[in-house]
Amino acid sequence: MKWLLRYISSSIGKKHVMALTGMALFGFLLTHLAGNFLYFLGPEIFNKYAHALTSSPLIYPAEIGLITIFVIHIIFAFWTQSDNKSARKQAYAVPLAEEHAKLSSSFMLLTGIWIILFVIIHVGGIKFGSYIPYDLAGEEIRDLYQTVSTYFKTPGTIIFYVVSMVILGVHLNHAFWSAHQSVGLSHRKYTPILKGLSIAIAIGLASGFILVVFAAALSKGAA
Amino acid sequence: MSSKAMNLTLKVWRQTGPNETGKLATYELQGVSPDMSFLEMIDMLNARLIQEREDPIAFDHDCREGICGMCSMVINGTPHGPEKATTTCQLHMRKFSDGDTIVIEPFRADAFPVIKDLSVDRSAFDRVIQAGGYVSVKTGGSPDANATPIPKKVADEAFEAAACIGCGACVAGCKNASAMLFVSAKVSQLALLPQGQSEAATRVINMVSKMDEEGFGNCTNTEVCEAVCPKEISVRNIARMNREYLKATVLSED
Repeated sequence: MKWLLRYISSSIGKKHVMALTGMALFGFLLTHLAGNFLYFLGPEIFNKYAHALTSSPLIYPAEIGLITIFVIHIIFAFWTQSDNKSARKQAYAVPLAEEHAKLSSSFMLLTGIWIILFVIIHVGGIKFGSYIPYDLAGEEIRDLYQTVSTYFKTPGTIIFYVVSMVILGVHLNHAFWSAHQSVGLSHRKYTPILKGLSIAIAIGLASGFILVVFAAALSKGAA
Repeated sequence: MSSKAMNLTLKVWRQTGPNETGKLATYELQGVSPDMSFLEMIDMLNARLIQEREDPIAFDHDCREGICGMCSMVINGTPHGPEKATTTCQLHMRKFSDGDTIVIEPFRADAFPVIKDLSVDRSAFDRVIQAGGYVSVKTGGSPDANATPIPKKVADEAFEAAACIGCGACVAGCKNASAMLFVSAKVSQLALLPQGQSEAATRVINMVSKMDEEGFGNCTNTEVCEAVCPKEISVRNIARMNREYLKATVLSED
């Protein structure tokens, strides 16, 4: 097991861990967005889906897995950041010029920290938010549709979510192709496509999530 | 060559020794010819400083034709200055304008300690090379040139990686002071060729371990290294090293 320790504590190993956990979290975002889109199909389908998810015996292992991946991603982010800071303790008098042109990666830690705060507020507000009962053919399940519809009626919440999703987009824009590069997936033909795809994914995911927020904000649910 | 002589304000990092605190010193330099190289401009200033019985500015230089990789300085925030794919010695003063203020700093990284003024100790790179940047061969009669067939594309790719002069601009320009472009170029030039295969796994592991040990930062894929590299080494090499490292770790038996 010594090799494993050497591997994950090496500069490249750390990048691999960041990339793989990042890709896993990206996979989660895709399924989350797909689930969110069920909101457009009305309360019955949305609530049935939410109920199926939360009542599954796999929900706890899945949640533990997700939290573990998220925490590893965060720990390694701070670990590499501290390595990087100590690699140049004396700063330049004139800031590095090329760095200004390529800000994307400079924002990763800041956008990442924002996302951590967002996740805490988001989980608190929705998952552990108001419980409204819903009658599904005699069975009482949670009316998550109503919870969401009510949640997005305050302008502060809407603005916070929209801003957070834009920040998530900025994070993903660098993350997506960068993760591929980190694990060694680089190719003359495909990398330029991957970089384009990164922008598309960043815009697509952010606007997808924002769309659901707006739909909830405009819904007729109780204010 | 009738171009007008320039007057410049130079802010140069002066540091008397490795453990001293340095600071930027300001010099006004008159009558700089646009045809001078950047190093000749510093020579001119140094000649004046010597005449004035001041300590001349220490800086590294050797071939002055862009191939040795010695001239290490950050000019206005860019290693080797504003011209793309050019070392400091090949940078000409015509790239600047009369009245410009030019800030000159040494390459900054904890792995590259300042010796004096603009001169830094880059022997960390030598130790990375010693850790695995070679092929072990029994010397003897020279092998036939075509005995080992190598596709032209592969040979070109290896050659492009081998064009790295080890100047350290990638480290100097990286916000993380990461040496990944240098190390990956050295790993790649051998990993691409059949002669490098037998030691491929131990090479990448040993060189990366040494690189980490020397205190270089991690790669965050800003690609600034490629942008400031005087030999335009591609970040594709970094991906190749990442791949080689993964392969070596997974497949090795120890």
